[in-house]
Amino acid sequence: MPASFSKFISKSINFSLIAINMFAYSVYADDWFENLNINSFFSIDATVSDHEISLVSTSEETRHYSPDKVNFKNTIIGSQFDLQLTNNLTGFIQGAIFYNDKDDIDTSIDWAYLSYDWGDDIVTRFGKLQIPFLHGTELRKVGYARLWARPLIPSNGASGYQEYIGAEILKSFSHDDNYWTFQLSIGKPEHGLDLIKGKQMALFSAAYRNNNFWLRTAIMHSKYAISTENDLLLSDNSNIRMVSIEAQYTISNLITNIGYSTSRSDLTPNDTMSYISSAYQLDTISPYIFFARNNQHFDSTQPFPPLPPVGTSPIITPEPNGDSDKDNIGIGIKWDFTNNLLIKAQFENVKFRDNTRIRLGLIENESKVLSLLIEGVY
Amino acid sequence: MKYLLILSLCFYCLNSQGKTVVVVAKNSSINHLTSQDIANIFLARTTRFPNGEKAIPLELKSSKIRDDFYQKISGKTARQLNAYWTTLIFTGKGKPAKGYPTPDDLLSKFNSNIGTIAYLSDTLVTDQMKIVYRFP
Repeated sequence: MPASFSKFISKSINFSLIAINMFAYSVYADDWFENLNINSFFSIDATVSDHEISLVSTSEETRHYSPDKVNFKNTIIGSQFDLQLTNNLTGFIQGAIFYNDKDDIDTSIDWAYLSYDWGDDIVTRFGKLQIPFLHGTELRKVGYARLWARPLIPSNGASGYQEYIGAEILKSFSHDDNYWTFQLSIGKPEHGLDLIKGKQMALFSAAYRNNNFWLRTAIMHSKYAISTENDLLLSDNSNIRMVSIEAQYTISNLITNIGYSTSRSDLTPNDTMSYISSAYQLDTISPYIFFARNNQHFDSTQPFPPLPPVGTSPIITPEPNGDSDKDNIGIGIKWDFTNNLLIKAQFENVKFRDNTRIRLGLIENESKVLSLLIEGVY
Repeated sequence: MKYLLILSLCFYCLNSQGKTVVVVAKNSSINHLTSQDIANIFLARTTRFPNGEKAIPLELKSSKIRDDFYQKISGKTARQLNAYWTTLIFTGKGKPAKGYPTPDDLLSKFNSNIGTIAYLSDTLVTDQMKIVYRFP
């Protein structure tokens, strides 16, 4: 299917979802189909930076910001339809409309699956799903669900793997105040870069929750093919292995989040990500601080790409070797001014250091970023 | 006299809210639930009663006892709970109890399915319902 056609289909479905949603809320309100649940989310994001910078975005891509220019590139609206088809079978579709990095309106279908409840708290889901590698990878587009202005995970998510087409089985247990969920996912992952084609993925995730604490961990393996920008296939059968652990602990009004993930890949760079964040809830106002570190390690001992055919590009770009680091430290305030609407103001310092390009030498820069967001769910 | 009347009215209103109870359909095989069973069902940790039957939680949308009920079963405020539901809803891993605008709407749905479960004031309990838990 041509890319432009699939994009048209995606846009059409998304505009229809939003339109039906608005229609349902404005006309039928409580009288909408008994078995249909409609939920929506939005983020209006105004961000300004003092230097040119690429930042993690709410949708798949990074967002490039020009110095001292307020922009709304990270603004997004999404809708979800959840229809109970039978007593055990549910259909689920969720999409979003957002600005892309070129300031065009873009769309995505993020979830589209059928879910079957087998009883005994066992559920299977088939279709297009988000990869449950980190808490934030499944909820990336729903800004209301996180404390911070943007996801703290790397710009490309779980080493670039954001979603997959496949199946998963979820099993949960509860005992007193303790609740466990186990999730096994298999399928074909999609990578954020066109040069990387995910092939087969297996992921196992385990999560524990009680009233004051949650912890989740995931382990993932995927095979992938990788080619150059000239469509030269570098490898058809490379491997990436990833592991993550995250936790949230609430003591009285203090909420602390920590997270760590790392990957080992045959050809693509190895990612390591960690973060720590604390928020103090003062009724509807929650001031917070955070620190996040993202590292990409490029290893020149990895196999070189084959030489281009004679007569084509005579210049071979040296393979990156070394580390690319990004440290984010920030403070912010989240104000829940109604039960489903909030305002966030965040100031952060982003430090970038890259020594992976021999010709360019060490690249270092530092930017200050101010963001103001209105986010909601309804 | 005017103040006495207002005071009496307030007293009547407070009393008329009654105590919060959890009810199931009268012909349900469930006779008793623990507060933890109720928490698991209303926090979408399970879709089943302890005996394995499907549970369909219902509630009044803007009930005065709603915040109090969830505070009791989860220890969370309404805002904290909203964040909890957001993570479940937008990952498809759970949804809150279906809300109905009036007691009549809730009662008509309640009588149509054997798996329904709801929390409400004991003043609203009908002979089509069975009380399976009383909050202290």
